[in-house]
Amino acid sequence: MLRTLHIAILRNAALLVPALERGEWLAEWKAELCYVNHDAMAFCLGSFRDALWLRRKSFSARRMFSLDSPLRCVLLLAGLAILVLALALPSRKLWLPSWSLPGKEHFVLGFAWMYLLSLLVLLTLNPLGLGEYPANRYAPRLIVRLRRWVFLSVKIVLLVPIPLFVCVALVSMFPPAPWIILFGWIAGFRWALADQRRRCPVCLHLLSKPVEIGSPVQTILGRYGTELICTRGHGLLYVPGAPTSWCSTQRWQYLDPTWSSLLP
Amino acid sequence: MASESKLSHTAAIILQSIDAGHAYGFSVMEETGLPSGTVYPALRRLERDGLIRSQWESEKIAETDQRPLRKYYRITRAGKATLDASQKRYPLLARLFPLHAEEKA
Repeated sequence: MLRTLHIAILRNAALLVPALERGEWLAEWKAELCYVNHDAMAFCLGSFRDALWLRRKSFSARRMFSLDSPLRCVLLLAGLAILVLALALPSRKLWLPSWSLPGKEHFVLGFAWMYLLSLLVLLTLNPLGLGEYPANRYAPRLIVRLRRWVFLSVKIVLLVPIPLFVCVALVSMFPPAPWIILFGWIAGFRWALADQRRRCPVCLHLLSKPVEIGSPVQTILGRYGTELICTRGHGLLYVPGAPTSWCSTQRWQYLDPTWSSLLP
Repeated sequence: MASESKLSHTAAIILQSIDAGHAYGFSVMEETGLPSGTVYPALRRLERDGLIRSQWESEKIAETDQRPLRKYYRITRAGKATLDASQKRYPLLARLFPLHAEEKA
């Protein structure tokens, strides 16, 4: 009975250990528990300190704020939106009453106009295309390919309130500055597109291992650009160094499943 | 040298204990009298700093002795150098494990 309790404590502590190390960590503690002949409870409770140390070791700000995973990217954007909303809450009296005023339509129209303006400015500054993703026989099903559009939409939706609430939060300190919203949206949408272009269309993780191919002097007769790969083996992205008539934009190539075994 | 200066008294005792042949977690605990919540994180830290390295023993040995597998810790060359430096810093450290001192002699 006590043995079961001790194992349960160790299993609970193991939940704190990073997943990759959990199996070995638990095996070591369970093995060591067999040698304990007195005060096994104190021994087991000590495992929490060990597990916490491993968790702290695995924690790093760089990894926490890494946008590699699509889920982490969405969570970070959502967290940022909540944070600026919390900062804007003390100034709510300045903007919440506007909803009860008769001219609230103008308020909404003003923001809609600014939103459209930011899209227009973005269009002139930056091409909106995301590149070519021609389907081949290794391409995933349509539903999987649609996920990247859902992901892009979620990012754009989450980016909308951030400059808005930043502007509201600053109202108490500075006079209203709608240009913050405008430039915030332009910068945010530009980032969302750039981020989307560097993601695998299948797993939505950021592509890595960039390799430069060719040289600028071979632009006409040869290939010159950068190749990135999905470390899960889904495909390769070729980004031309300079747009040409035969390769004006980045091009994705789906790889066959055998590639995944070649990648770490 | 940086790790030599940073080694705490507790970590030095644990390192000394491993050098003395107490090669798995529980034996270090028994020898030093330190609680599990101190010994195991210290072992991880020492391993991270390259002062010790760990290795699971072969299943055959554990089966022959009819006991669970043990994860053994061994002191590395860098660990030995750090221990020597720590013994100068904590002169009583070497006397904690007299058996080992006799073996060395």
